Amino acid sequence: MSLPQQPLQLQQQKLNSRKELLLEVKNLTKYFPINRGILGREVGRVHAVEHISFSIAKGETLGLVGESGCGKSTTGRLILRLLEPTSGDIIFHGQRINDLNQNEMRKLRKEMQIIFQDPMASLNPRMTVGDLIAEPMEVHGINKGQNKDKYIKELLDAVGLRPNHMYCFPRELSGGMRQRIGIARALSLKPRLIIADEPVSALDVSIRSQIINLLEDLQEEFNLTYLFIAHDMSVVKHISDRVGVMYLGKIVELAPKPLLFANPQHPYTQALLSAIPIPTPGAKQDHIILEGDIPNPINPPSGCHFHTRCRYVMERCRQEVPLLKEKTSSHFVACHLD
Amino acid sequence: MSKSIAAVTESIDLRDSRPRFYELRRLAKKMIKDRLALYALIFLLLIFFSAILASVISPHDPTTGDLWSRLQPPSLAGGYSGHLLGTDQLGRDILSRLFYGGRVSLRIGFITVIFSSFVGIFLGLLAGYAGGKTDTIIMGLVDIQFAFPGMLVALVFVMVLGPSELHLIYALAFNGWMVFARMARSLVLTFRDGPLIEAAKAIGVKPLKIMIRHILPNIFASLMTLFVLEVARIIGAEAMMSFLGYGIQPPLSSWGLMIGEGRKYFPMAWWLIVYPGIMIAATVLALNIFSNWLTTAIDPLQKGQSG
Amino acid sequence: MNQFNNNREDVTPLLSVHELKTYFRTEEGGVVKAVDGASLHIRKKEILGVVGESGSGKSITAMSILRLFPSPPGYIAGGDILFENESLLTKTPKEMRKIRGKDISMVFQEPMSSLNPAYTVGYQIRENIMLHQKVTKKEALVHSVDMLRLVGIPSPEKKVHDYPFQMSGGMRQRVMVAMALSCQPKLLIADEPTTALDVTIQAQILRLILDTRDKVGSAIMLITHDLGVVAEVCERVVVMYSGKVLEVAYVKDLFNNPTHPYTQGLLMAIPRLDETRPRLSIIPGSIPNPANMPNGCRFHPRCQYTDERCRTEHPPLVSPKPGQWVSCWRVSGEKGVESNVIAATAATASTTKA
Repeated sequence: MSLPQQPLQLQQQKLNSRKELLLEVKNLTKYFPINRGILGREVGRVHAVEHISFSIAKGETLGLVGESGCGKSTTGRLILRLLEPTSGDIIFHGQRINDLNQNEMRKLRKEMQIIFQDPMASLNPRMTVGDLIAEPMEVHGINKGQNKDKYIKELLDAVGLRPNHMYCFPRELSGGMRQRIGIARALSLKPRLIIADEPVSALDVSIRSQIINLLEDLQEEFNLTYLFIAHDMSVVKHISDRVGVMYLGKIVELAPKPLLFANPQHPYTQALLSAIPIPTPGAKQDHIILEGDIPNPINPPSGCHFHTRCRYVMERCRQEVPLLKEKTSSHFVACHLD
Repeated sequence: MSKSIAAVTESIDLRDSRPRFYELRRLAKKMIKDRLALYALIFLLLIFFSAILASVISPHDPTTGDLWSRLQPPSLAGGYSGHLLGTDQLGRDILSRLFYGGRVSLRIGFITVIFSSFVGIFLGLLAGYAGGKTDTIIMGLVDIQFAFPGMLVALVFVMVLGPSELHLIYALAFNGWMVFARMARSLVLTFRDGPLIEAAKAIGVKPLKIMIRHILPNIFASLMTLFVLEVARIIGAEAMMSFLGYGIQPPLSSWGLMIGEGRKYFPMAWWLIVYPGIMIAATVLALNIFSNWLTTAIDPLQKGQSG
Repeated sequence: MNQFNNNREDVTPLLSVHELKTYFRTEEGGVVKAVDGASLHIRKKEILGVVGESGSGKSITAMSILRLFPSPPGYIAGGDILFENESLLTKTPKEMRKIRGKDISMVFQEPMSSLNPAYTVGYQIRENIMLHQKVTKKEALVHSVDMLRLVGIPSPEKKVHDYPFQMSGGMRQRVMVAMALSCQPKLLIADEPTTALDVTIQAQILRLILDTRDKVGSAIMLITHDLGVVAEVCERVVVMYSGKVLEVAYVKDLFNNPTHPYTQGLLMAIPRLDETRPRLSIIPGSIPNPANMPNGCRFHPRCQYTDERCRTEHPPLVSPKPGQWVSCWRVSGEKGVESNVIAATAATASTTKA
């Protein structure tokens, strides 16, 4: 199961040479209150994201995987402050952005953008492709007049569309093409960080590789840093440099890609990897099939959130929350097993 | 290098290369298939044009009556040949009064609903988008105002201000904004937490612009159907107010007023109330039919689908 | 006419779809050919995978078998569907209702939309049982509990009185399977049963489906777009694209030696856990618009081997080797085998060894 050493060394070199951190997240927490009654008393909370910490270096792709309720999409939105964190710090390019007011935040939005899962739902059906791509520039007052059209055509070309597509409406184009529009729009402000929230999950299988390759090419061409959120491990394995695995609002494992897939340490990661069907007949003989369902984030299990489904569960797991600790170099695990 | 990943292998790989105003054309084609809606629309257009052209097509002056020819039945039922639908108690031609009355009813209907929809939609957008206290306060106002019986409030208004067309419009508009506010708010809520608005926020679009550019155009069509329904309701409401004597005052004519004045002469001079009654019922019915059809016809358009 | 015969003892397939054409009339007067000449068959106790992307017609094929598609605007324009050697297309609606849920059952993608939120889970399973079998309410209830136990729901005697909203997605899907199996169907059609579920739950449901075949003895038609699922669970695979069948093969053959350029492209384009590919290969272009399909071979605009013939004529299904069928001019042209292959195979239909 372990991969040869050579790629790992290259991986480490890549990490070391780009040590400059673009994004740092420390103890980020988000609770959604559940209110009942006329006076709106809080009767419970959804533990969407709980005390997570990670960082992304410039030019890197951090993959964030997990199943439903794990909080990965919420994390993406917290970083952009589309949702306000309950507590914790978000540090972008050395600057703590939690307390920026609306205007300052608006200026910062030029540097970080998002690509959505459903390309149709995030594009206003009443606007042409040209208008959609131009909107960010309009909002920030850059590139007016002739320059604007020229730039839009350049963007369309960069994402593999034709200049004439500028005059079309999203409904006239296929799913893959709509996603390219979303990507072009995100690129228009020349951001540093792009949060890709399940960018290929809603696309047909034969189109996915086009978009994945496009994202990789764009990363090189424009020096982008990606936070790649997905539930499909195979895609995450392909595109990421490092991978974080989330479960019920917590990061349970965080490691450079080759390490994580060659030697998953956390029982959940092991089960997750084992559960994924591989397109090779007769490949998998033993499965770790997790029993039970994913617990409700309104009332997560005590101690380690995963203890209810873990095959190595101990008494300690029920009581004490395991912290994310560095087991071997750069490989972080949150588990009481040692 | 990304150029090599062309999405397009043919000239323009359009999913659906329909012409620009295809939405309207599609609606038009659909209407031709749904006969009932077509007839309703034709009827409404007839009323509309006859209202505009009332002064041209009316055979007589609606306000001056010839007392010698009062209470004449419709010409086909034995009355004078010059009065197709008969005359009223002051000798005024019913047909002409119907045309001028239509003008008044439509005018009041539209102006009232334009006022109430503007105010209602604005407040509903605000409540839905801002949420929190703003939402609670605005919706509280809506609930409170709904608690009062609409007709009574309108009557009190008019009694206090004095009966006139303008005061009638104030009174009816005052009671009409709530339903727009509720609908606009619930429509906004369906969009507010969705990817469309998230995308706009992520770009940095300011809230007001989000409401006007992204939310409003996408909820507009649903609000249109409500608009049409409200016009129907206001026409009925005006008729009732004028019937009671608190709406349009003589010598102006409105359909409701004609019924109010002609009440005394029923059932002998039945034409005094039957014709205006039919006009009110038919107009309200046509508006309802049209609004129903509009709701089902625009549904796929709302979602930006290609039908 | 049995064109798919090869080396299994059980010659007659349980279900055989032959050149099925299911079309839909559009508002503007056009026709969408959702399924345009699809042929496939399933034998008893076999697990057949039907793979395709959006617009491939895989779901409509399944719905056509049970006649569950909306009937205007949809209609069957041609072909036949034989179940246990009887044509399903000639059956009356009443007869179809007898078959649905009893001989052929179906499980859908979204369990929440298929289960009635107003009735308990037990009630719904019972309802299906009593519809098809002459049993008392009590007996049906006992059977429902047994079914819930069979699909692995803990404390089934209690859960039988739960409402769908009280259950998680994975559990609801199990209930759907329980309902589908309650009358021991001969064929279970599962349309993307795990697509809406999390990966760890998907693994549970797939294992359940395999158990089903063993315990209940149903044949299973598993419709999916996920090649991993196909590799793990299915015995044979049908690959569909734009309403047509492009390739049919045994699972090992399909993955190790894909014949159709589409299948080859697809296998090379997906990222895999067990392999590291520095760059994914792509299939250029997009899936054709169902209202505006290309002439000739549906896949030709995206195929690297396209030639003149591909542009004008759609290739028929030919069998380069036993158990394998492909619709591609490259294959038929090469081997010089053309439409006479059907006649040739029919001639050898009675032989059991190939």
